[in-house]
Amino acid sequence: MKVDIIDIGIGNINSIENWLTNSNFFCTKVKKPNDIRSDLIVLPGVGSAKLYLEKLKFNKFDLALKNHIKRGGRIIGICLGFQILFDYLEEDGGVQGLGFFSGKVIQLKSKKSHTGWEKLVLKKDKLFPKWKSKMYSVSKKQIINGRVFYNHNYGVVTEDKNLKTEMISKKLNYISLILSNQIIGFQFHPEKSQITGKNLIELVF
Amino acid sequence: MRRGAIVLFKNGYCYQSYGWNILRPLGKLQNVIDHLEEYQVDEISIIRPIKGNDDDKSFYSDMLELSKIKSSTPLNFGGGLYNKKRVDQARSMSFERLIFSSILFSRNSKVLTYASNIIGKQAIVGCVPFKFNKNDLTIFNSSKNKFLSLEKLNINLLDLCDELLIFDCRNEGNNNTFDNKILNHSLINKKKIIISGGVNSEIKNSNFKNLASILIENRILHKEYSIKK
Repeated sequence: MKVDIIDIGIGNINSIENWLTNSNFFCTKVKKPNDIRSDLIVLPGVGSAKLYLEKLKFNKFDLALKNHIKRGGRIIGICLGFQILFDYLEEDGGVQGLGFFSGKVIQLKSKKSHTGWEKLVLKKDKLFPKWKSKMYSVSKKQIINGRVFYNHNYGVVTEDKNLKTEMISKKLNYISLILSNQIIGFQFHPEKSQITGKNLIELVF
Repeated sequence: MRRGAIVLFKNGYCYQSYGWNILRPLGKLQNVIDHLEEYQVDEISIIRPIKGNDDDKSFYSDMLELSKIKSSTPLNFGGGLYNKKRVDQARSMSFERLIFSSILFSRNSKVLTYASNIIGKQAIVGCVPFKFNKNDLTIFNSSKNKFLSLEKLNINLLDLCDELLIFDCRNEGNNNTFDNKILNHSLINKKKIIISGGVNSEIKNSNFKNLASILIENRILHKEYSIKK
């Protein structure tokens, strides 16, 4: 299966590529919106929100991503690439996100970063139909039960009860992942979550 | 508490280090990382052991090697991040966090602020390699290749770091001899702490305040203790 990775010079692009190719995906780094060819786009994370969104908008990827969704395409957002999918990010004095989901990204209550591993359990039946294509199925996994790596100062909160989400943990009441028909977002780094990360991408497809 | 590993990397090879001055070759970095991933370590810190001169040729040659690394474990990198150009080079690679050491002696915060702005504060780790001379705390300045008194450190720069890596130079490579005295020092008591240098996996978080992680050297690859006290 082909995947386009948005490359605006920020983020863990090489790690994402390594993560996907390990599960036999064919990846292309995309530097211009016109080069988007795949049904699936990955938005990498790592960086500061303002710079990331500025570069994304400067390269007109904001419009390209919206058009991609309109055409029925899918997006996976990772860490900062997940946070920018929401309305508003508090980081860097406040920046507008892409607004695919209602919610905001706020500084963690502790004022310290959350860096470490947390448990993740995800069942395949929670995924929306578009993510369960038999054509591309790379694994028969029905459930993953492992640990994933987080490194963030800001967390996502939303009051939209229609969204299908999981929380990081009982102590950290911020969104860990979001599942929708066309978009999946991870606050953690699946590409740096060892075997669980590999299992996750195989479950999602 | 995370349990990770620390590996030294220079001129294309990895090394074990003992007592801050003995290096033993470990082989290619990719092999070392592959082994560590088998153990499912929580993170790997890759350090270029700078002691004095560090020219651009050596730095960029090491970065070229590091760019080939494939890993699904969180990687931290430090050693030679003195200026914005080098920070830019490092941030374009597969590192989750960058480690800054000798720059903490600098009078200005330009490089650290720049790094924080482009990769986020959560990705900034300060490194304080230390040893006690009797009861006096001294900190190693890698660009000058000498231990300096604590007063030379620009304490304000520590506020720009998310976590602080406290490295016990004297006990490096030893088994569980980390000098706990440092952890009561006012320098670090407000920060999330990573400790390394004479630590092993038996350390419990409850023994230390604010301990975020331990980085184990040497023994992660070979269960041997070459130096005993």
